[in-house]
Amino acid sequence: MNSDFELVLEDCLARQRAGANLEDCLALYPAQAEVLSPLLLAASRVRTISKPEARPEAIQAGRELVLAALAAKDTTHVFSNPPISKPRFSRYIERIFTILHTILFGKENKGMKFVLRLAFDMMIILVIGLGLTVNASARSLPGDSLYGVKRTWEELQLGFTLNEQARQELQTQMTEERRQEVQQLLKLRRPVIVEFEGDLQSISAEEWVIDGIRVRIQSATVFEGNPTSGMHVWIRAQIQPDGSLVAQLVRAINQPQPAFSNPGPGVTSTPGPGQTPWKTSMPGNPSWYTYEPTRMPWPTDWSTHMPQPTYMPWSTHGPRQQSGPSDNSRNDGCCDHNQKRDHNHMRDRHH
Amino acid sequence: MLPDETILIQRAQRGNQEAVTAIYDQYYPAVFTYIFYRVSNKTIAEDLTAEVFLRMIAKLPDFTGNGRPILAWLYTIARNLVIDYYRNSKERNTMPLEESLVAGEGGHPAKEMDDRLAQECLSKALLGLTEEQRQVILLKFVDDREISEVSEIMGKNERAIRSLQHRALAALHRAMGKERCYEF
Repeated sequence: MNSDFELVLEDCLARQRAGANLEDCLALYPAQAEVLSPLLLAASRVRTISKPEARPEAIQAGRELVLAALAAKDTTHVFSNPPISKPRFSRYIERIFTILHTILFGKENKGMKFVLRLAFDMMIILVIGLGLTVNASARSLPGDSLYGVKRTWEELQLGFTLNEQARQELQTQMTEERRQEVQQLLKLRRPVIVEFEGDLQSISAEEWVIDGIRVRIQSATVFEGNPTSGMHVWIRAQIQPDGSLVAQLVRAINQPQPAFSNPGPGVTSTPGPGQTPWKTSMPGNPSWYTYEPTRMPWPTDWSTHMPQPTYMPWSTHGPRQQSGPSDNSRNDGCCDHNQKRDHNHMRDRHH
Repeated sequence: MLPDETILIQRAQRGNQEAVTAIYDQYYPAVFTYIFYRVSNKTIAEDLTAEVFLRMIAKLPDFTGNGRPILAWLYTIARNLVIDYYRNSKERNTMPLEESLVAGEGGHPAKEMDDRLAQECLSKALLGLTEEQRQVILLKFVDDREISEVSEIMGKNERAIRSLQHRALAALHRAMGKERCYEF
């Protein structure tokens, strides 16, 4: 209603400006005439009063003053925004300290309300607590309660590192961290599933060496690609109580593969997004290395995202069987019942 | 802020005299009117208007505008100057009306007298309004600006300006009646 009236008023004012008189407008809006009349009268009166004008000599004198001030001003100062002056910087710092002091120690009736102050204090405690937790998690291993914090922090670091070179360095560092974690876990003989990547240094019937880490190969081990000595491979393996490592899945990653098939390195069963691009984990960048996967989240639907059937040299089911984890409902010829159960189990652990 | 105005300010910030002169010539009348209706004295308004532009020169390197027109900034400087003026001046009306009229331009003294009385009356009436109400009256009915321009200068949407205009005119009507501004 009020808004409508304001539109009517504006319409009348526009008409008045164009030359219509007060009565014309009131006739157009008889229902609002009583309220409109004094407003239009006031507007009309103001419009009839001649606009005050300064004397030309005063305008000229002012102009000369302004130009003189401009000329007197250091041009370089006008040109650039100078860095913040010391007094101003001191004032800012002083103000920040005053605000912080008021928030943290100020009396309720003088400063911020109690609830707001409490919230601020809680926020500070939370930030400090979070920092300490992240710091404490730095040496954690898979199976430790803080290991999730460590990996989340790594993911955050990756996410916020936009510079490509810094990102690659960080990913290389993380790959190395994963390998060191595996070695520590082997010493501890902690029965967890680990995932890491490295160079396949030697192959024998029962044992492979990947970057100095010995991995036992069993008949249930699944192979993707055609891993040969010298290749860069990604491994998922189970640490046994006797301190040995039994491979569950070995994937050759020197051959072009779809980006989504890269689960990335990791000692846990949750590689997550943004795992190490394999190229960057190979500082030497060997000539055979051609594959550079993009950062992709861990595929949620393995049946659609896994690579196509590959050779499984030790599989009892022949060389042309699909090796990747598959959907429960699919009878894709991946493996026998036990293997399939293991795959599903592994996939569930990932999720 | 209009693109032309942005360029003008950038040039002025680089110390270009023509740009500064253009800003001065373009905005002097509006600033003068604004100040005049606050101090009710032409000479003082002239001095204060010149001071507004001197302050503009001093602060120009730091001016960013944040998308608002330069006139909005000049009004802020003017408003602060008027406040300082009143704070520092023990005698509010430093120059009596008659003297100010004598100092006015020649021509038709009777008409000038009428104009000056009307202006004086409006000036007194405007003192009864809030800062925003006063500003919308001056921009809309003295400077004769479109509502979109007023909206941009005051940094409010048009609906808010229409609402403000409504309240301002109602308050002005009451104040003008009280000051007998309709009688001459």
